[in-house]
Amino acid sequence: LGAEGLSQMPKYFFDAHDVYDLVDEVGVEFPDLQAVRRELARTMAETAVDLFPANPSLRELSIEVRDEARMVVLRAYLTFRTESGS
Amino acid sequence: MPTRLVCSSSATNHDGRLSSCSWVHMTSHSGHLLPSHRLTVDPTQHPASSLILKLRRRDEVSADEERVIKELVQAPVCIAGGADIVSEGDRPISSTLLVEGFAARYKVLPHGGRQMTALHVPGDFVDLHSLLLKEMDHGVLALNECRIVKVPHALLRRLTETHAHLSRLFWLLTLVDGAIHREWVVGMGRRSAKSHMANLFCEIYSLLEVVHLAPDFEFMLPVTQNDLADILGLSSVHVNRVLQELRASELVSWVGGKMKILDWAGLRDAAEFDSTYLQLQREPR
Repeated sequence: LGAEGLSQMPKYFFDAHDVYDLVDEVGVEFPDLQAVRRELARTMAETAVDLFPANPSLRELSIEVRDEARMVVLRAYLTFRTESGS
Repeated sequence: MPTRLVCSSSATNHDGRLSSCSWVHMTSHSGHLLPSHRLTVDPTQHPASSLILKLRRRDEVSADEERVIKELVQAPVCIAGGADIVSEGDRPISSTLLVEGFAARYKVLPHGGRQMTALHVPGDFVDLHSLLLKEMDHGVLALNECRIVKVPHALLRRLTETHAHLSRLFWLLTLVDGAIHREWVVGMGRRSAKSHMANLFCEIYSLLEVVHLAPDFEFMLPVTQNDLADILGLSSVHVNRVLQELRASELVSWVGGKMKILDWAGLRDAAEFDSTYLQLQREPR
């Protein structure tokens, strides 16, 4: 994809479950899992902006991170909850 | 047989300002593809060709004006992909015309975050405004190996005194740059990531079509997923996701740096794209 240069960084794959179930076949490179976590926090927030307002019944975003051996190494969740006042 | 100096391709390195590309002689009879069927600039054409196409899309350019432009645009040099063409803090004494390749204007924040604020394609002046703004408040980066021509400010200043119409056309170029900035701000502030990305692809296609580098809705897009994240102001994982959505909807394919728009009407709809801001109408300016 794109003009990827030679890289030593491991690749991680991000399967998203929300209004879609997206299986990532392309992946993104990161130096380590800590960098993945930081990026995931941004990704969740950005996805939330797009999906929660447009999909009133959506309650949760989740992303499963797999490594190059396709093993799950991290799961991330973001929940949107509203409660009516009494 | 006309002979022109062209720069041969070479592996890009990411450490030097100037690439190691060598200069070779090449004749212009070498059976090259028709301009409308190329994805890269024909090296046998005059380095001002794309710029002239760009201007002619928006207004008449007289034979005299064409001659003046060609005199301004001489002696291309190569820049390696990843190298700065102009750096923040520079006080350029020339403005850079992109002859071949892709470049991006960018700012880097103290903690290392990078935002690309503009993309440039062949035929674009990447810093025409430096004629008046003097000190660069941002850098310009070669995204892949580029050929550029540096046009001395002294010549551009003289042109503003002798060729009023051409000066207005150059002014128009900076105004279109400004209009593109506005569209990017709208995209970052108000569009969904999918619409924002679709808009960018519509825009790049429209700009490349003007300089005959997008035959059959196909064009080179030599950027990484991380570059795209820095262009759109999104996380790279989100960019990855949105690309997959556009692919799954069969709107675009992007393989080996080559993008193909599979469904122009569908992509335009996803983007809510309106090309008015690109000023693609030929009219007196």
